[in-house]
Amino acid sequence: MSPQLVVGISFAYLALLFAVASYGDWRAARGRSIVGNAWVYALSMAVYCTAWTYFGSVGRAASSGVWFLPIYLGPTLAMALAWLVLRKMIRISRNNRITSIADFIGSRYGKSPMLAGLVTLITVVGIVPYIALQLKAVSGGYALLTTPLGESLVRHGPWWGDSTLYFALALAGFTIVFGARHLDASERHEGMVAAIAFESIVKLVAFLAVGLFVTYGLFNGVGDIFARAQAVPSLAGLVHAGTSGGFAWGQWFALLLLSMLSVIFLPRQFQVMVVENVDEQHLRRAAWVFPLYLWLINLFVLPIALGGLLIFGAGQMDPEGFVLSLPLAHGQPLLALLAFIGGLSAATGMVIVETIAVASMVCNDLVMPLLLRSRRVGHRAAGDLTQLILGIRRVAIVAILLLGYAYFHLAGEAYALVSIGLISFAAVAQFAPAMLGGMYWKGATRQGAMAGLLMGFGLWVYTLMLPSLAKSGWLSPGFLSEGPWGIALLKPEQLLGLAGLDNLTHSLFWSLLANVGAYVLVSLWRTPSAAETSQALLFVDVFEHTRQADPVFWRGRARVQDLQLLAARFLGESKANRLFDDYAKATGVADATRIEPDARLVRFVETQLTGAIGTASARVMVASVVEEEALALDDVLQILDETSRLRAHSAELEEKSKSLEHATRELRAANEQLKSLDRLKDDFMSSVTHELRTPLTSIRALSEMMAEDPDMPAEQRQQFLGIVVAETERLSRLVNQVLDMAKIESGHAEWRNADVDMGQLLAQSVQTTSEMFRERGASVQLRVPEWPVILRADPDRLTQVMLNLLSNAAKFVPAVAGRVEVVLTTDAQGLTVAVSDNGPGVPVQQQALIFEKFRQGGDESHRPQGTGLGLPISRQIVEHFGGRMWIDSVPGQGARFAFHLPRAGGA
Amino acid sequence: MQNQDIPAPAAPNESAAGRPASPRIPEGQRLVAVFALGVLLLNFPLLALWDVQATVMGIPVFPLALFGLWALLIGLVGWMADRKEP
Repeated sequence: MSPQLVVGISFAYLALLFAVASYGDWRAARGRSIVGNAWVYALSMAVYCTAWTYFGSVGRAASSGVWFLPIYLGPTLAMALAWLVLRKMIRISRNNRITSIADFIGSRYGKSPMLAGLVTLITVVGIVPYIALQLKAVSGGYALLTTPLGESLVRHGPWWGDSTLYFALALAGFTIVFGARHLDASERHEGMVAAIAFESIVKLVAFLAVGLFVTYGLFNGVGDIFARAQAVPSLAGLVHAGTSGGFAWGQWFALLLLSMLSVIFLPRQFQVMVVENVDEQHLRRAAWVFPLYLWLINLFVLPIALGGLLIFGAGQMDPEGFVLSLPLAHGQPLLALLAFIGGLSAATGMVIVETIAVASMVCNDLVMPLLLRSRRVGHRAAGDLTQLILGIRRVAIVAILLLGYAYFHLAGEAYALVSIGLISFAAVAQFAPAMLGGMYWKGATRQGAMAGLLMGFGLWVYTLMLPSLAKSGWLSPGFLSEGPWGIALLKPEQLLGLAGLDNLTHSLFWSLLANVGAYVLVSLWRTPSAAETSQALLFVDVFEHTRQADPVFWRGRARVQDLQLLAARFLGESKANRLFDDYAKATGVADATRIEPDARLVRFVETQLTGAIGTASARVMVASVVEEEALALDDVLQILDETSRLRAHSAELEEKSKSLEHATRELRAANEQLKSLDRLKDDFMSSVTHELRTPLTSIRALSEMMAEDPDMPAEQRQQFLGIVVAETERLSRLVNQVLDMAKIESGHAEWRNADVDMGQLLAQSVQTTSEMFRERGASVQLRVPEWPVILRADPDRLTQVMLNLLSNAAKFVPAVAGRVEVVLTTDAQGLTVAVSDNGPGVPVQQQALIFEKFRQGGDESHRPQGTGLGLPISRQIVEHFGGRMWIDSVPGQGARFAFHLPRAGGA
Repeated sequence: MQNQDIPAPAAPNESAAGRPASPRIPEGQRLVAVFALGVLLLNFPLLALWDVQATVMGIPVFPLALFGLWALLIGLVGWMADRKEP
């Protein structure tokens, strides 16, 4: 295949990736993110599968069988704990705006710039071999694709003719475009995540395509490949654990542990899993989809490896190139090209995310703290530093790739892909004690973390990194075989005479042992300082604090203006202004100038800066513009105490104010009731006195006239006397009713119960009031059952009720065609008496009121005659017998007063 | 019509008191158990039990068991982790 074609297709593919990323950014800018999705999140985690997986696994399988697997089984086990461990990491990072592992560790141990710098150094040194691995794989693939099969792949020429160098530079350019075009305080790259997810699909599809081609195109299925392999003695052992000399279970376990740690602590994994996480809930799906992805991509590794060995014969072809050489050898150049694109996907995805993550670490935790310390930059009064930060990151990206290229030349040729990758794995595993310990152990200190990291990293360099250089011929071979200065105990791969382990397990054992040991012992040496304790509390108890009730460990004085200027320097002016306006809104003040410059604001600004320049630098910068008091350990505990007390206190206050509110409501209601009762009493008094005065006035007037005029004709005197008697009767009736009401209410009324025939009682009542209805020109209809309805009650009182209802009806029937109906019905419980009229009816809002004392139907202007006590008394009587009284009325269609009396009545 | 005035029988106060608390095992503990199971199954000596000279449908038992156990773990994690927030 011509080099031009391969290069052209590769660049076209990278351009496609860039289009996907741009689309992702474009969608994100419009608030319709395509990465806010658990599937995309899980796919982006598959950036774990690099060229190592793509080419290296097959090579590993071809040389040692199932040994390619533990690197993928470990992540599966780790993801089982994702919901516990990763979620906590995500929550901590989000609360503190942590964007890298260096930030995480530095921030946890008292925002230590030293520690963050050390972590960054370890990362850079540790990750370089891994980058080299990608370059080696892609350049190897390219050579395989462009060289006729069987010819030597090694080319000799001047250094500027090396395609790998150009590939490294092209990747650096793409990485800059992806991740360092502009500065974003949140350090999230939605477009990049979209591109990575897309790449994950491409590499899976391409690898499965090759797998299917080999298994079903070149052989008759998986069973056929295994059966044929069994027939070859050198291949038969590959599918068994117990190959020559037994199975190294120690190494198996070490690889499981190593990959378990790496899947979390590799910079690119931290980037996609923690920093780019949109929603913690997405972890639930990613916990099984990501392992499933690993399962799928490994499914055909063994068949491809065995198939390649069967077809080419052992030692003829590099097994790491089987995915390309098998299709090429069988006339499938397009499939080979697809496989190459898949491998390119795997390599570029890794390089882009890894270098972006490491470059921001280098910038935030190595270069910026040094720059800020220097007088020139740190105290330059104003001036936007965002361009400077971007510049540093771009340079860092290029530098990292060139370092990778250099390692590729120094040591890469001698090693298999997998071995190179494992060196990097062992380096990042050194972060595990400081990270995990920091998340769960409050007693860990900065010195402890520092000592652990230094010990672990030192031993890693000595037992793994230096030997890798020695094996490539850059150090004398005696260093390995004799030990430095001929001291056998210091042999790097058999330290202190520890033999019997492979070099990786050996290195991992010593480095992790020293790391954990130093971390724990030094931490226990002294109690944590104030800064360490405050950060420990924020990290370890992250799930116990909500955003609002977070304790803020800061004391001192600050000015809003200074902080705003500072933010503008690192975030850009418009972004800083927007942040301050949002903060003002959130705290409920009118604008940014009125913000209270308290500890919370200082923490807010520091957290925002952390997103852009890292924990350590943010701490330094904030400290430079505010006057702060140094906190002692007691202060930290006091602040924590205050916060929790404040929280308890505010909960208590809330409770109290709730109960107060409740009491106030009740009091108000009671007061309203009292007021209304008072008004009613007044109304009653005026109404009663009014009613009393009318008859009194006429009695007095008539009596005076009779007294003054002795010659009054007897006829007229007789008429006057008649009126006086009638008015007196009316008076006494009124007084009687008032007394009656009072008696019933106070329970002093006399009840003379007897068996009452209700039908008869109703008939009598109607009879009694017939005159009244006749005067009003109204007709009365009485409908009672034919059988007697007997009830035990006071007949006089019931008659009183009936007379009251009937006279009410008489008062309200229209002047023409008035009609009143009295109906008696019985049911199982008792009897119901209803008196209906065709008067104006009672408005809905008055229906409840008319049974209250002193209220009368009709409005103030034309109140009908009466005391307003009739209905209340009637109701009292009915209720005395255990019944109830009510009204149904549709205004304009008459009213229906009814009462129900139970058969087994009351008293 | 009288019924309107009679308050409906007080409904059991379910919404306020929450559902009767059935003892729920925190999902974290289940996931830790799956993790422990995985570590045991994928290491010596349990894994060595599968290393036998036999084939199932032409595929040697050892790789088959590795992929099978792996799939089992993935299934368990999916079953336990990927459910709606209770």
